[in-house]
Amino acid sequence: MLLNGIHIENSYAEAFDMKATRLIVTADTPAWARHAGMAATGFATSVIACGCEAGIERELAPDETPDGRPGVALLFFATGRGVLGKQVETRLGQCILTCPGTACFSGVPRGAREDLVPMGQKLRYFGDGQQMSKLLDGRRYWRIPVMDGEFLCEESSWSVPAVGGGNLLILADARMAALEAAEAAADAMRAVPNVVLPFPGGVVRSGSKIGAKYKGMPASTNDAYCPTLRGLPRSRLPAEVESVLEIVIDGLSAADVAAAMTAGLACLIGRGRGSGIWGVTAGNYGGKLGRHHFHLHELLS
Amino acid sequence: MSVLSFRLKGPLPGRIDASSLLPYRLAALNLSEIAALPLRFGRSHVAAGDLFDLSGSPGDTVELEGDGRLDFVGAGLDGGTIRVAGPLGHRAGTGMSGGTLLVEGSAGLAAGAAMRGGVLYIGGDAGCELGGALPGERTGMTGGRILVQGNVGDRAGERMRRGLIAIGGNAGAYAALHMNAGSLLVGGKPGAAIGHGMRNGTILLRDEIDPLPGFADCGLNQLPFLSLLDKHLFGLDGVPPACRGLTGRARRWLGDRGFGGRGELLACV
Repeated sequence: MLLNGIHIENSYAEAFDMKATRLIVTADTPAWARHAGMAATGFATSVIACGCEAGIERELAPDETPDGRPGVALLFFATGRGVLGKQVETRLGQCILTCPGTACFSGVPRGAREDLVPMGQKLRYFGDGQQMSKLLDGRRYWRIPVMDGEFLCEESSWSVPAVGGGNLLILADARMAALEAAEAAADAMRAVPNVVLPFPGGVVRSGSKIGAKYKGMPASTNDAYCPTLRGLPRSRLPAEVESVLEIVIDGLSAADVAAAMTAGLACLIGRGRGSGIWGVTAGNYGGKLGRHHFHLHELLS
Repeated sequence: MSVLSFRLKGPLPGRIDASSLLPYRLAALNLSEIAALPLRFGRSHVAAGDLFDLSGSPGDTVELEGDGRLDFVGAGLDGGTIRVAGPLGHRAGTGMSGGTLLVEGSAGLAAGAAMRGGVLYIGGDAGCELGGALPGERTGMTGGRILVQGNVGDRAGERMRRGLIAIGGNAGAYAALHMNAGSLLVGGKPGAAIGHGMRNGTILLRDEIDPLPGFADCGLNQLPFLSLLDKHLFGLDGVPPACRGLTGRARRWLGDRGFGGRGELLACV
C-alpha cells in the first residue's frame, strides 16, 4: 500500500498480554512530580532486562489529582503481577519516596485481592513504627515521617490486564529523517490515553529478534532491518533505506495500543515521502508468541 | 422509595426501647403487624400502634417523631434510612453497621457507641460517650461516621479504633479517651484531658491547646494528608462547617506518651 508516497507494508505488530498498573505521583510543583516520575520509570525500557516497562503517561493538573497538587500518571507493565509488584515496590521506595514533597496514589480502580500491588503496605515499615494510616472512602493511606515532612502513600494499587509490544518500524532515507519522523510520531502517540512508549524519547534504534548465534543470548540485533547489512540475502530493507527506527507501545488494552499505532501511522503518512520517510512496517515473531496482532493495513482502513 | 412514618400519639409513658423500628425489619411486615409490634417499656412491653400513628408504607426509609425518652433508635441498623424529627433518648445508633440515622434534634447518652459502619447525623447536641465503647468492651467505634452539629458530652470517641467523628461544637472532658485509631474532629473547644491514654489515631482541633503532659509538642508541620481528608469531608453531606477547611499548617503533639501511645493531636488553625 502506498499512501502519500509512503510504503505501508502488509505486516503486523505482535503484542503480548501483560499486567499493568498506574500510579499517580504528586508534588509541590510539576517539575518535582516530573523528577519523581522520570526516576521511577527510568531503566524500564524492556522486560528483557529491566523487569518492567514503564513511562509517564501524562502530566496531571492539580484538579485531577487526589490531593489537589500537580502530578504525573505513571504506567508500569510487567509479565506478571508478582514481578510487577516487586518492581513497583522498589521503584516507589527508591525513586518516589526519596523525591522531595511527593505523595503517591493508585491510579486504577480497586481490584481483586489476587491483583494487589503493594505500595504503602510494604513501604510503611520505612517509618520504623512512627508511620500512621488513615482510611478514607475505603482506601487506606500511609503517612510516613520523612525529613521534609510526611510521605503520603496509598496502601496498594492493583494490576490490570494490559498489552505490551505494539510497534511501528519507520524506514527512512537518512538517519536524521528517521529521527525527526520518529519524534513526531512519538509525540502523536503520547497524546493517546492509557499508553506509554517505554524507550528513551519513545524511540528504539536497536530493535531485536529472538535468539542469537551465541548461547545465552535471549535476543540479538534485528539484522533484517540493519541498513549496514542491507546487501545480505536476509535483509528486508530496500536499497534506498539508510536508517530504521522503532516505536514500541505498551497500553492498557489492545484498543489503546491500536489507537496509538493508528495515531503514529497517521502522523507519518501526513509527513509524506518528501520528509524522507520511505515506508512503515511492524515487527512480529511469525504470530506464534503474542496473542494480539495489529495489522497496519487494518489499522488504516 | 417508600417511607413509613411514625407520629407520636401523645407524651410517652416512660422510656421506650425503639430498637426494633429498623427499616429492613419493618419492610417484611404490613402496617397492622407493625402496629402490634411490642416495644420494650420498663419491665413490660407496649404495642407500637399504641404510641404512634402509622402512615405510609414499609420500605427503606422510616420517619420517626422523636422524643427524649425514645431510646435505642437505630441500634443495630444495617441498612436503609431512619429520619428523626426532634430529639432522641439514649443509645441512638449503637452498634449500627450500615445505613443512615438522621437526627434533627439532640441525642442522649452513648449515641453511636460501638458503631461499625453507616452514618449517624445529629443536628443538635449529643450526650456523653458519643461513639464510645459499650460497657465492659475494650473496643469502641470500629467504622462509620458520626457527624454532630452541636456540642457533645464527655468521653466522645472512647476506645475508638476506626471511623470518623466530626463535632461542630465543643467537646466535653476526656474526648478520645484511650483512643486506638481513627479520626476525631472537634470544631469548637475541646474539654479537659483530651486524648488521655490514646495509643494511636488522630484528634483534629481548630485552635491551639495546652494538652496533657503526656503529649510531646512536635511544632508546626505541613501535613499532606490534611488536604486529602479535607477533600474527603468536602464530598460528604452534613459535615459541620467548623470541621471543614483543614488545609495548611498544623501544630502536632504526639502521645499519650504516658501510655506508650503515638497518636496525634493536630491543631489546624
